[in-house]
Amino acid sequence: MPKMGMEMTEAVLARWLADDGATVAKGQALYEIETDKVANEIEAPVSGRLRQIAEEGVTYQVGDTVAELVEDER
Amino acid sequence: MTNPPDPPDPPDPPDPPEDAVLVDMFTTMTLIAACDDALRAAISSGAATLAYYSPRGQEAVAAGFAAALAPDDYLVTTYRGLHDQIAKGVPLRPLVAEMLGRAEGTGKGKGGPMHVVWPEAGLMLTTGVVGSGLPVAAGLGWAAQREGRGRIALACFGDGATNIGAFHEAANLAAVWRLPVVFLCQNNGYGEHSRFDDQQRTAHVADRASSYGMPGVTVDGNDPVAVHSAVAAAVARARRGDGPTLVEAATYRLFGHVLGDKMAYVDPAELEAAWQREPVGRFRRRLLDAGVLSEDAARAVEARCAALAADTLEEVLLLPEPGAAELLTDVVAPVARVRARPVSPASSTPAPVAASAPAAVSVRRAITLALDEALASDGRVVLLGEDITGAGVFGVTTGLSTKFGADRVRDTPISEQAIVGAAVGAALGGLRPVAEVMFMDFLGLCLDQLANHAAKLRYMSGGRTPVPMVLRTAVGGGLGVGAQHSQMLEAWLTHVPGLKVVVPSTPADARALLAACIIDDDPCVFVEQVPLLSRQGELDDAPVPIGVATVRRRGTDCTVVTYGRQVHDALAVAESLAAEGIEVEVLDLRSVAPVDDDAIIESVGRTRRAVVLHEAVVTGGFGAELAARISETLFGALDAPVLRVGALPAPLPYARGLERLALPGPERLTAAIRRVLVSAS
Repeated sequence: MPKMGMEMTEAVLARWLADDGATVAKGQALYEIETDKVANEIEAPVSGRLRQIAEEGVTYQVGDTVAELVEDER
Repeated sequence: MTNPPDPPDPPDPPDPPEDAVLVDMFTTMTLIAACDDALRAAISSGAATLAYYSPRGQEAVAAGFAAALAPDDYLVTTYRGLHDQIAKGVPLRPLVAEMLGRAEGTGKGKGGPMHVVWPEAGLMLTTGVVGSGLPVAAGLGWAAQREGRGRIALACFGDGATNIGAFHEAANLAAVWRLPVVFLCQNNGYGEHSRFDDQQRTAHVADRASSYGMPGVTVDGNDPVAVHSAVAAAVARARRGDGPTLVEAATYRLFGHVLGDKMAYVDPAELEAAWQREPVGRFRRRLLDAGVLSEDAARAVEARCAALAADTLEEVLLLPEPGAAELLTDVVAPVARVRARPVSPASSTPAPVAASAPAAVSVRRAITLALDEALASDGRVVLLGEDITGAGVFGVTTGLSTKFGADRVRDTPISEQAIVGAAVGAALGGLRPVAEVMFMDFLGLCLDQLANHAAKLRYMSGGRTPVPMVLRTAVGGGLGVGAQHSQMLEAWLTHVPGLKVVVPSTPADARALLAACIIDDDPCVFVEQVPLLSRQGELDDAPVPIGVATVRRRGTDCTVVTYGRQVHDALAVAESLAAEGIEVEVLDLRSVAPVDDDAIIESVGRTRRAVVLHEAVVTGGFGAELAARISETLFGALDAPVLRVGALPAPLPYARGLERLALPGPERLTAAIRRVLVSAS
């Protein structure tokens, strides 16, 4: 869970924007977070296969792991 | 980027004044000069003792602008203001009585010559701080604009005031908001004891108007007709809704800065030339030459004015000074204090900090709700601040401008002095402004408006001009945002009589205290600790009066006296010590000004040991005040010295580990509680 702005300590993972197991490209929107203040789409930092860890509607602390991206084997 | 449009042309001058108006202006100028003569004589003889800032030489400016105003138009002026006050219609007896510190004065003798007000004549502020009247005039203009009856605000100030930030912030805000304000610079050639051209490089003050996209015009300030013409045009423009104008009246002060000034810094030839242009005699000759006034009629006016001034002064010298009972009257509104809950242990149960529950809301939502409710229930409530029509930096004002309109929830430029000054002026004009200063650390940018104006205007006016406003401000300590966005500075504010300061710890208190601040008739500062904003709790409809503490946890061994987010730290520490059989009482002050002495003394009187906890730096913090109050009242009954826990004496560091060390955490609180318990054995 990334820190977006000065006061954010936790956020709800509102919804997944990519399916579990899907192959996503760097920059593709992965999931949406919501706080009282902000709603943000979080993009894939690298390309790879998405393994969802977090659940929709649940509050996570900044720094919690919400997903893994497994980079393509070559 | 496109080029900005040229500033608007100066407004067209109106028709010249009729003869009756000319005679009125002459009479006003003559009365001003007569009062000045009488006062200077009384000071020279020793009958009156005051620092006197003679307006002699500037009579034409006052007579000219006053003839262009309606009786209920607002006026803001400065310590060299006798001419403006007389011209606007302040009655002579209370005016002179205030100058001489008499109980019958405009401010019951508690303000003095630098702080004369007379709301019945529209005089809402005389300030002793150069430039500070301008943001207040902008706020009065906002109140007039919202009122929609064509009223305007005129601000008088000197050339020296145009070099201070308040001038810039107020002029810009008034232009951006198209406020019905006339900025009237009485350029008398000197700021204090320094020449105009040693203090600025612009040839004319009016040149500065183009910086703000408003018209600027320079006129002969020794000619009341010229002043009247320029001000009347500016007033007409303001009444039409076209915004502010800067009028510069070029004049001269004939007796220097303060009476007794040797004026060694003035070229004698310049002073001699200025006396040749002396406005009262000059205008007299002009009216006689034009056949508007006869010699006999002029002499009659002069005799009448001289007698009125002399008689008034003679009467006032016999009046009593204010009695001792006035000393502590008018500091704040005279409201009987009402307790929300009794504090006796038998009948009181601790008010719990609600844990997360299905109906829980965040502190942020509670604040939004309080603002929403206040805006809905009272049309006088208005909000102003940076970026507040959007979500605001912390999402507190989300949706309010859409619901209530961008003219009631109003964005400002990044101008803290203008924000707070405009709130002061709006409050003087009958609104209930809630101003936002984004971070408490920025209070330094607007402390003059808060401490010298909001806090003192009720007192200095003898209760005539209360300032019912709220200043909301956030503090980011604990978030890793560094030393300029994190410091709790409530001790700066509690040191100033006239201010009320609240620091809520729960959503219910945040909502109730903000509502209490908005309906309060005095300036209130509402502190929002950012790490608390997301904290959840249940709301209830119980009111929380300002100045009433609550016991959050009952205990018998020690009282932790605290407020704000440290309440939650104290409760956590109390829980962990309970496992060892140590029962800690947690008293949440909720308000630090006024502070609930009764609740503190009741609690510590029972537990006989106290630790004072706050987020602010310990040295000179509000905890020192609390410790002193406890010791003064309970010295013999205490089992241990009162200990203080707060931030360590360093600017709050950014690195998270250092920040945690600097702020008062559970470890230091626990250690302090153990120390007072050891002392007791």
